[in-house]
Amino acid sequence: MTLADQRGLSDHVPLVLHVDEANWGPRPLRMLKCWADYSGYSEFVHQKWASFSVLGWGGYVLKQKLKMMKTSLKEWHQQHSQNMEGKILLVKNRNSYFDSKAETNALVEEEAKELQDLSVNLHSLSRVQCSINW
Amino acid sequence: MIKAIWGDAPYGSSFQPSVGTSGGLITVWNNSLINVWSSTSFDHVLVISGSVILTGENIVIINVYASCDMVAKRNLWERLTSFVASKVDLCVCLYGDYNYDRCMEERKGRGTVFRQMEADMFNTFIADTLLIDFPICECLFTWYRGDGISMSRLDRFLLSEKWCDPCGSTGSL
Repeated sequence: MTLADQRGLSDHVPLVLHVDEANWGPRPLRMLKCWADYSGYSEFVHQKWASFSVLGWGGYVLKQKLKMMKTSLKEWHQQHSQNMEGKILLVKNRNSYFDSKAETNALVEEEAKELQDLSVNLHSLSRVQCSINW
Repeated sequence: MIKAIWGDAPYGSSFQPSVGTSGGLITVWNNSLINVWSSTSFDHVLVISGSVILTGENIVIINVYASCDMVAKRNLWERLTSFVASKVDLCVCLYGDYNYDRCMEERKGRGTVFRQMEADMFNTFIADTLLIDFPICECLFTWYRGDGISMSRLDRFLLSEKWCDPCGSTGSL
């Protein structure tokens, strides 16, 4: 990381290079892996990315697009993380329903599959619910 | 004068006198951290070679002042490209005033023309040497004319991949 200090008598700014810190400056983008579990996430990213139009050299375009993507994802995340507790409760209820059913009757194949999906879903929802440090 | 800036830490230094009012170079290092065994200079370039005492890693520190003249600059990039290529397996740090920016976004001002060819030359140089350019924090430019109008990113650090190797971290300079 190159850190600029304040300019004094010179018209140049003193620069300090830090090699030992894994600090690459502000993060242009953030992503939660669990977003990818949402249907429509990948289409959302594709569409958004294609809709941005930035002029300049390649590196600059990439940086700007990542920044714009970050803003869009932030909104997307807020929309999808709304009423998380309610969503989690629905999954939990469905889960309990199958659990207690399985205590007395064997689940049919579709039910067993749904139960498995529910637990994946629950994990995913819990991860989305955790706070993200933008 | 060095002591006034550097303070009490042990130091060694190497310098190249200026030509007119510009191009003078000085490199100062901490003797207790690095062991310098040679110093050479050519054009407006001052090179020190040595090793980091703690890790034993070999380092080459290249202090550069690039001329504003485009032909002189082209020659300098050519010379430096082959010089850096010969040190490819070492920790190479190239820094200084390159007297040009890499793209239009790295400058602001009136009356100055951005010469794509000159920027291309510089970008090709960075690509050919396989050196890594780092982002800058705290401000966007490194040179300010002082009129509040013209500013540019003339100074930068370029590091060889070896420096960024997590297994061979050399610490801050």
